[in-house]
Amino acid sequence: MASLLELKQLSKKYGAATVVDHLDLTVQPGQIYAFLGPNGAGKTTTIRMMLGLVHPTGGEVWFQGQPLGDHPERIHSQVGSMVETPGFYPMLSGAENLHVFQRLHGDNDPARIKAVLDLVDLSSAGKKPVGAYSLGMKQRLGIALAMLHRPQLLILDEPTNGLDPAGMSEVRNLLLRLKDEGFSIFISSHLLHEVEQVATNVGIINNGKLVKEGPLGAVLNSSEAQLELQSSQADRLSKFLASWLPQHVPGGTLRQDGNVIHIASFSGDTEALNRAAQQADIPIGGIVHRQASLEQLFFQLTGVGAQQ
Amino acid sequence: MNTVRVISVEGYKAVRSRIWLASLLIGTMSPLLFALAYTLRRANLILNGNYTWAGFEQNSAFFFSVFLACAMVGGLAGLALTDESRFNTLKSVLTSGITRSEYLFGKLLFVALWVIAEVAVLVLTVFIVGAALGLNGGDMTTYWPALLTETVCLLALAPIFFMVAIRTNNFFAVAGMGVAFSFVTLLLNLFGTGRPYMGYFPGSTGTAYMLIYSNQWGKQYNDPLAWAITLAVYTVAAIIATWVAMQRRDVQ
Repeated sequence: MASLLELKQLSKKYGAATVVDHLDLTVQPGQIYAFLGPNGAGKTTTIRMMLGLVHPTGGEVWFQGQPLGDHPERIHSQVGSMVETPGFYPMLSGAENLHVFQRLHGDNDPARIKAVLDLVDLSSAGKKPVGAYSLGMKQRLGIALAMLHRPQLLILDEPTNGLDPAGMSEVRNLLLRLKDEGFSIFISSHLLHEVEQVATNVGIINNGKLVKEGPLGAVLNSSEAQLELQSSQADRLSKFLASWLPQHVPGGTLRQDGNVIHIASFSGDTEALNRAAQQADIPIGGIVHRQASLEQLFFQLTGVGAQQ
Repeated sequence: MNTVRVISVEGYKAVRSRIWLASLLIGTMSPLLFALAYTLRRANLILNGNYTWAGFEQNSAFFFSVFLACAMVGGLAGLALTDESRFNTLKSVLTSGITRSEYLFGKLLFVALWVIAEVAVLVLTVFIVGAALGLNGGDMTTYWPALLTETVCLLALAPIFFMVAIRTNNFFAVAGMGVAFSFVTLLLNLFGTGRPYMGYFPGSTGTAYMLIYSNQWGKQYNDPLAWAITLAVYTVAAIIATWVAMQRRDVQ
């Protein structure tokens, strides 16, 4: 079966600066693909190139096994999108704005407008001018606009921007509901915890290059595990590990948080560590192996955590 | 087909927007102004034999041409193109199955239709107000050709304003250019009334007045082909430049 969306060696340069660098990426039908990266990594530029808003300097976008070439509009009947903060005509109501874009799609179905407004919980505000909407309401209207023409694939760039925690939770539930309804979703976000709960696949971009891609579970399993040690003499244990680790677990790094010591990138023998600590007369109250979260993996791959 | 959709959406927005509706009223301003002047100077005009349909219509068309029309087209073109950037809606429009060419020509055709509607409002207002004033008589032979010329000139200007709008993405630059064109047209009418090839004039709406002033359709303009070619070159060059800029643009 052909991929739904495929980027082949996609690149974008602005002058001497390479914003997106030979990006290869594949979205299959039914996936919720989380496209992650720090600010300035090239996420939004990539999305704009997918939609034909920005011209690539190299590479191609393929949709359903066909290259789009110079006709990106061919994708638009089957793709709904929201790129960054959505824009609307402020003098028109939410429903009127949707009507405008529905007409551009060659459709005229008031029932569909009502349905998508219901879906994003904007039915009561549908007749108010968009100029009076909050940022969160505009975000939700943007998602409604993306779904308006019943696309196969939704491309959402930071859809939870400006939403409060309740709004974020609504969007998360909405995404899961849309997945159940058969939508494929390509979503870029900074909110890794939110994304981790809904994504089936992940692509992480840094400095314009894709540094990791795959099913969420496989990506997380490929990440380095973390060991957490609890001790009433955490300071002593920390000093002990500072000399023990380089000899036994090259690459392992230490961080103390109160009575808990975290060892990142731990690939050594836990029993040997425990025995060594006991021989040094340092009590260890608990040892927990933790799989890296998406957030930790993101920090590892992009180096953002080290900067912050 | 998609171009028609763009036109219909522009129409929908125009009807919902007070600014666009207000702009249509510009066509009524000139005849209403002269209705006031004719009412105040009625006795004097009758005495001199100038209380006529022809005089009223020519004055209204002249005032519209010189003072309002260029600025109006500049404003319309500016609104049509720069609003999409101002409201951040361009990316949504261009991801709704509309090509950039359809978007551009849809907008251009909509502005052209609006200009024609504006001239129609002018004519209609002239006839309603003229009838109310009880006007009669006068030579009308140059009136319709002048209006036709005026309309063609305005339509020819629209792509030039589009070109500026797409290059600068600034409403005030386009509207300001419209006002500047009006001013140039006024100067040309003050100082250049004998010149034959009005198509060369940047504010070519002065043509209408030239026709009225000369009252000899086809004689002052002894080379209408040169005039037509000049306007066509303006228009085609501006359309090509605008289209190229639109195609190459990265929408942020």
